[in-house]
Amino acid sequence: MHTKEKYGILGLVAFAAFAILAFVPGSFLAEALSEIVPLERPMEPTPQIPDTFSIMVNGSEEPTTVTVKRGESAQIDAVVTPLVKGIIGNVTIDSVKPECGTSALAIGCTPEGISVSLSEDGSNSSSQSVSDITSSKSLSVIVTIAPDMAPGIYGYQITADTMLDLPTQDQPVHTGYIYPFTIEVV
Amino acid sequence: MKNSIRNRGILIGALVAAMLTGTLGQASAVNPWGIGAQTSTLPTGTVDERVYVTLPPLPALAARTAGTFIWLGGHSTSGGTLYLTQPELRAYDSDEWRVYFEVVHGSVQDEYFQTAMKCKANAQVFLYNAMLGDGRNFQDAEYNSGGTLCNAIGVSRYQDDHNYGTTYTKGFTTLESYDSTSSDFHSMNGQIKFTGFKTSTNYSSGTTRTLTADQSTNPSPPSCITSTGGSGINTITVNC
Repeated sequence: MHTKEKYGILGLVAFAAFAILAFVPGSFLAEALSEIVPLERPMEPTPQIPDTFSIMVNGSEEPTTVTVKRGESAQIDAVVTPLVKGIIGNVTIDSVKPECGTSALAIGCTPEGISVSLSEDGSNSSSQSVSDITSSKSLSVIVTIAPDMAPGIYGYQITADTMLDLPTQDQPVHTGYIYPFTIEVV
Repeated sequence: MKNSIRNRGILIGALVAAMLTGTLGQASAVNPWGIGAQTSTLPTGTVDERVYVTLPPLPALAARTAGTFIWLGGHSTSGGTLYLTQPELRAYDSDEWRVYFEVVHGSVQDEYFQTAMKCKANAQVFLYNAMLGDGRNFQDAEYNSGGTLCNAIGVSRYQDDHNYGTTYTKGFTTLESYDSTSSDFHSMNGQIKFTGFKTSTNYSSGTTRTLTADQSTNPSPPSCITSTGGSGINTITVNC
C-alpha cells in the first residue's frame, strides 16, 4: 500500500471514530461515568441562569447606604428592570434579618423602629410589595425611623422575583434578584 | 502532494479536536465536580447549620463562565424527596465572588436567586442555612470581617416553593465547578478555609460538628485540589 493511501485510510478511520464520539450525547457519557462512581448527593444546578432583573437604588446598581435621622422619613428611588423578555416580576422589600419577635434564628434580628414601604407613585403606602412588573418601573421606597430607634446600621433588601422557563429544566425555576442596602440610623 | 496530505491530516486533526472538545464540553456542562467535607449523620431535629468561609482569589475566566461555586449545603427530606439547600458564592468576575441562594432536588433546580452582594478574596463570609417549622428554608450570607472587601453587610432569602421538611440530615462545605481544567484554577492557589461549622436543634447555641473530607467524582476534581476535614473545619487546598 502506498504511503498516501495509508494516510488516507488512517484519516478516515480517525474521522469516523471521532465523528461517532461526537454524536454520543453528553448525558450518555455522564450516565456511563455515574455508573462507575455514583454521586452521593443531588448537585446538578443549571450553571447559567440569566440575570432576570436589575435593580438600581438612588441611581446605583451597587448596594448603597441611606442615612436617616431618628424621628424622620426619607424617600429612596428604586428602578426595577426585567432583563428577560416576557417575564412578570413581583417586587418586595424587607429586612435582611427577621424582625425581632418573629423568629429566633441564630443570625439575630432587626429591632422594631424602622418601617419601610414600597409604592409605584410615591404615595405613603404601607405595602411592602408591588406586583406585575413587566417593564422598567420606577418605585418609591419610604423609610421611616421611630424617634426611639437605636442608632446603627441595619440591612434591608429589595427582591424582584419571577418564574422562568428554561430549556434545561422540566419545570419553571423560581428565580430573581436581590438588592441589599444599608439603612444607617443617626 | 506530501504537503497536500499533511495539510489534510492537519485539517482532520483540527476537526477531530474540535469535535472532541465539543463532546467533553457538553459532558462537563452537565456534570459538576465537588470537593470539600460533609458531616456524618446529624442528630434528630437539627434545624440549622452555619459556617464561616474565607474566600480565595478567583479562578481563570473559563472556570468562571462554566460555573465555579463555594457553598454551605444541607440535606433535608420531605414527602420522600431529598432537597439540597445551599447559600453559595459564585465566581463572578476577575476579583469578586457573588452571593446566590439555591434549592435543588435531584436534577431539578427549584429556586435560584442572584444577589447584588459581592466580595473579594480574603473576605470572611458567614453562611447560614435554616429549616423552619413551617417547611420553609432560610438562607443568609453576611460579611463578617469588616472593611470594604464586600459591598454589603448581608443578604438573605426565605425559600418557600415547597415544604422542604423541617430538619437537616447532613451538612456540606464544598467547592464545586463545571470546569475540570486544572490550569483554570492556578490563580486560586492557596486555601479555602471553612471554620466554625456548627449545627443546632434550636436555632441558637450551635454544636461544632466534625467534617469529614469528601469529594464527588463525576467527573473527578483536578488532582491539584485536595480537601481535609476536622472539628468544625474544612480546608480545601488549591495547588494547581
